[in-house]
Amino acid sequence: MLAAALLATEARAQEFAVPGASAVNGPGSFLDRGLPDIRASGAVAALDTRWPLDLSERSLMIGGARHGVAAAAGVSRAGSEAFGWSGAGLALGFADRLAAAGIRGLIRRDDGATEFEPHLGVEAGAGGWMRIPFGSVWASAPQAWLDGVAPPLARGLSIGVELESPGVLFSIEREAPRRGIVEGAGHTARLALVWSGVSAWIEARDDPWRGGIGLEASAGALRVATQVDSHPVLAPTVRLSVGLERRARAS
Amino acid sequence: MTIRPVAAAAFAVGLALAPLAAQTGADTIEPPIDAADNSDVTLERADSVSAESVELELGLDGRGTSPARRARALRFRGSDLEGSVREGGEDPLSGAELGGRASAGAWRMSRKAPQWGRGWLVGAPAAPWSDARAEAAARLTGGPRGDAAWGRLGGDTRLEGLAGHFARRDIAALRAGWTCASLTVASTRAGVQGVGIGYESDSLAGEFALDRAHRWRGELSAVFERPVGRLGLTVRAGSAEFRSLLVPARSGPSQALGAAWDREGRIVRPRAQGALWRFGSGETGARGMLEVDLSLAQHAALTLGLEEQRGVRREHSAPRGMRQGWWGEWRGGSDLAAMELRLETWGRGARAEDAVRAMSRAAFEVRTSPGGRLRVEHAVFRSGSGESLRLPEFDADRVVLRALTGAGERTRVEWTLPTPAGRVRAGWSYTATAKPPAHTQWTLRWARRARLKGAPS
Repeated sequence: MLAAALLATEARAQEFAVPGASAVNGPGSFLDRGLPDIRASGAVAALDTRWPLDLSERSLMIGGARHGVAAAAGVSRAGSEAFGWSGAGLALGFADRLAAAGIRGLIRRDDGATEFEPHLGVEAGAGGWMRIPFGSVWASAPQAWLDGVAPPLARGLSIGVELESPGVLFSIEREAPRRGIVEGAGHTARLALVWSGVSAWIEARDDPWRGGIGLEASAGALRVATQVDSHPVLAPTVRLSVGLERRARAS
Repeated sequence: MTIRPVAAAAFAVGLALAPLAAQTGADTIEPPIDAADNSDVTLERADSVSAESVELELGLDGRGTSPARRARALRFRGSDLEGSVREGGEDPLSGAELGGRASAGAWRMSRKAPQWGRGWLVGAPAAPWSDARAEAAARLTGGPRGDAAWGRLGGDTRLEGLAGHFARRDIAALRAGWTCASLTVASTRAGVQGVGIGYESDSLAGEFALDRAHRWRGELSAVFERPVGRLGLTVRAGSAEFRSLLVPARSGPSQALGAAWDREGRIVRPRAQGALWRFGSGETGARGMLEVDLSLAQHAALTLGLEEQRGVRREHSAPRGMRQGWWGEWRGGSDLAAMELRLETWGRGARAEDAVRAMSRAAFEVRTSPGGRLRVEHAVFRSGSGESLRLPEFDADRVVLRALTGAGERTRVEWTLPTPAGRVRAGWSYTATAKPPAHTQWTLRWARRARLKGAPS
């Protein structure tokens, strides 16, 4: 899992990191960061992630929010049979029009571990967001608790704010230094343009500087999104997501 | 070191410069001078039980896989009698307390001493760098712990007596008071140890104390309410070797000058503090702080602050050099859900560069039922060697300043659940640092409160 960790650390792409113009983004954001999405009463999404060195990951997730309760579940498979890992995630929380919060957990099985090494790794965390005038703020600590095999990507407490105006989304996020890593805080800025059912965004990250671009389109219940993230040394990481959503009724 | 530039800065800030919400400013609560490095500090909150009621609390505390410890407390407050009994394995606030009042006077038997004047003979002196307003907002009582029996006869003209055991000495003190003025005589088994005169009113408090070796200490604190805000000034002077009678380890600097300013406002509430001090050994220190609390739309609030510290806070300690820090905190939400985000960084250099300690914290609180709350808090911290980083944790009857060292993360989950049979509170915290193992702490409490017979509902 070490090689994958080196790749994922720079790409910041995890099992359920579904690309999207907004930080709160269907069952993916709930499973990945503990941020429930209230916009869909039910959603299913598939994600394909292509890292450099022909390493790939496929994920399937389902989730939704109804009567103030949000839930999501997903499974994933990364790498080859001999070198890879499988994951299963679960998230549960509350969701309101003005705020939402949830806990998320993930269990991974490392296929590359020898018989003398642990095969299973567990991580658990929480997240929440809240509406503010002109946008929302969120906080996510996806790996507040860890046990067993270390995850491929260490993740710290991230705090972000997203500002909205008609047709434009701008967000900035700060990730605190991650546990066990001597580093400064990381920052991500994203600018998205939204036309009816289509969104396009650019993203910039520091330490080291790198960027990404993304595109999202929806037609009826169908939603397709993709994002390409540059890597400081290797080829870019490409994520492609296809999903179906049933929009929640406005209360 | 020279303190002149800092003096100018501190006073510029102090004289140029928020009211505290329930927990706003809690991060500026300082531990007592005599608190050990890298150890948790527990401060008692006053009035933890409401009037005319009795409260019983039973619970268990645990740490890691070690056996659970029982904790029991009984608190009551009537119109003329109040008391509490706390029992717990390693509870620093354990002990019994009983007090009463009548038309002729009042009395109290307790583990903590009363505060007479500025605390030079009876009580505990405040550190010149402490944030008195933050401590007042958190309703903290910081007196030394020992054994004390105190009584008062009279009203405007009164006589108070104290007998107790503090700092490994038996101590007796008498204070005669006339309205705001008072005269104190304190003694141990070795004879009279000191005399003092004091003055305490809403806007002015002062004490002059003289010990048997003719060493002296004087302190004057004044608060002025002006259209530009509330201005506080504190001056301390005295002999280098003078020590507080009840808690010598908290005597602090022999000379100090402090100023504080805050202004209430509907949207903007600034406050500032500046202090300079000098120990008897000649070591000096200074602090200047500016904080602005802003009310935002939808009941949200934003707090921004910056501070510079210089010199030492303990006599004969290694000089730390300069520290600059800044912090920002956002709080928002509704009765259903609330969120707090805080960033704080301290560094050796200007603009907090060359960071020596930093903390990021996020907390989410959700109403789970009428009167029930679930709070999840996660903090990421990094603290260099010799740096003090403490995270305040609020409880019904105390504030615990949790010491955090090294680099790591702390998660705390607390659930308060009212039930027909009483209130249940469960807490769990998990601290993981770069050096394993991680450790957990948990608390389970059940509390039942009842109104005393005949009390108005």
